[in-house]
Amino acid sequence: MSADRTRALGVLALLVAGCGGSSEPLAPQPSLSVSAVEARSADGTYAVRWEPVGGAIPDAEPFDIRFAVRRCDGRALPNAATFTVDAEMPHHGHGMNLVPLVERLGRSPEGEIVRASGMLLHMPGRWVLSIDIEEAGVAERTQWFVDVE
Amino acid sequence: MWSSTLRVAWVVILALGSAPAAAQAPNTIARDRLPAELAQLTDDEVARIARMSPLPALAADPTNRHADSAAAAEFGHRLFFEPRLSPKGVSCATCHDPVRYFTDGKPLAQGIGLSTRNAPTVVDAARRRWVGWDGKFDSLWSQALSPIEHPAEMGGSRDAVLALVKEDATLREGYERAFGPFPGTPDDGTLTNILKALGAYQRRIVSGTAPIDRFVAALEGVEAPAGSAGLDALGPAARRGLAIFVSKGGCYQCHRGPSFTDEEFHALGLAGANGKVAEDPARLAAIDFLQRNPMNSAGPFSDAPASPKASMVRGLRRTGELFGQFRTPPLRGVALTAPYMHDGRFATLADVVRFYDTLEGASPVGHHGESVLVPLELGEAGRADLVAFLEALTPAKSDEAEWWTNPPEPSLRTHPAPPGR
Repeated sequence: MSADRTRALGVLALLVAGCGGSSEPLAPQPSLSVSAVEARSADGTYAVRWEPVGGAIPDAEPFDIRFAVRRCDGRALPNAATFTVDAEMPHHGHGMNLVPLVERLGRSPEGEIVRASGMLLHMPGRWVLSIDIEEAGVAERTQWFVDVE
Repeated sequence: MWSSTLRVAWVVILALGSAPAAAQAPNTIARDRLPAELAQLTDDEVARIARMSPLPALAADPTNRHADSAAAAEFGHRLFFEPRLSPKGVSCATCHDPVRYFTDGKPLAQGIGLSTRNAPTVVDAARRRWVGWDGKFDSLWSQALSPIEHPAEMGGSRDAVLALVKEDATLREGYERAFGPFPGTPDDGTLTNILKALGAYQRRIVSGTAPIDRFVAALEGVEAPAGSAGLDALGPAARRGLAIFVSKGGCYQCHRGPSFTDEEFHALGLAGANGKVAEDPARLAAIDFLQRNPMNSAGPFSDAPASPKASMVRGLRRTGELFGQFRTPPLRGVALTAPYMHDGRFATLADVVRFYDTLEGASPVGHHGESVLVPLELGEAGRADLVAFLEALTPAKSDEAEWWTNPPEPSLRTHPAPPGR
């Protein structure tokens, strides 16, 4: 058994044990790196991991993020689910100057893989990144602090 | 009927995940190299100094496939200084005079009439994400038509420009050397080529090394070339001003990186002409214009309508908080570009620093305004130090100083024709 296959099965086992896994056939989407940051959505329906594409958030330059979403009850996300990505600076009273383009890439062992293109954290300080997942008219938000030096 | 928006309002609860720090370039300055004036800075503040230099290589402009064509730049050079683009003899160089660091030194640009904005420098303009004080344009080439046709600036027309290039042997030769045979209608790409030549020329107007570059290099342990200053490139006052800039002054928050700008927009609460709240919508109005402009990066005249820049244009967010916001000006060469602010209201750098120091005369910018602006209370000595630092950002001309003067007579230029012709 190859190391990659072992690693993939290990990740899958963790998902099943921790929060349930997807029952849908998996498309060949690469997983996020181990440094991706995870959080649960507000009501605990989803687990979301995200990371900047390229591994780093550039200084006052546009960048993309990838994130993985999975339902914690083990069911697959319906195709009708939608995603909204945004960021704001609560202490400054403003958000990003760009609206990210959100594109669903497919599925991986860790869930639905989505890319948000056109993020821009143009000032230093504390940002709050939010990823909203909406199913059947109900949205849940997952949020992270992102501190930009 | 439940709308999803209404449900979101009830369902969404703040559930913050862990806090990943945004990655930054590593600090390349060792603390033991810091002079006394900077010794009290934190590691984060020192890292801000490291990010001030060097300027990276100029990024490509895929929206203008002629951007790096020498023939196009040469043709654009001639156009830039050409007074016949205007029926009143106003050229681009009238307001962007190389002698004045490609500004006109006046509070408001003076062409045929009086503009409503200060003339920004063209030096390093190719590095700007957005062009103009309100970022109404997203490239140098798409901006070039506006002053030509603006009644208060050059008062010309696209048809007149085409006729001039067609009739004038030198201009026509310059066009054909860069682009091939001159067809000559506004819709066949000829006009766009002319504008892209102006963009190609302005890409050549770049700054050289500034004292801050030599200072940062010395802090990083790079030995200065013989005969040039290293750590001495910044005197004690400028060093103290640098410390203010990256720490309690908070200047670095918007004036970031090697260009000293975040390339975005902010409202400072500068009072309007009535002495009260500003009336110029600035960025708010500019976004609408930019997105509708067929000459933007995403439009049919762009050479890369699917580029990241085009995506940015499509993705611009239009919100009320943009009212009155102007682009953060870069600070390299700032000592050469007086007067200051979008309307040239401050005659000197000392006046600018005094405004930030006291916020005297500032108007409330509403609940959407930046909350980071507070009076700095630096006092006279601190203000003088900050000005001394800003003066240390004055660069030398680039090595290609030929672009900083009127173009030579046609016979003296010998750029070869592009391949394939």
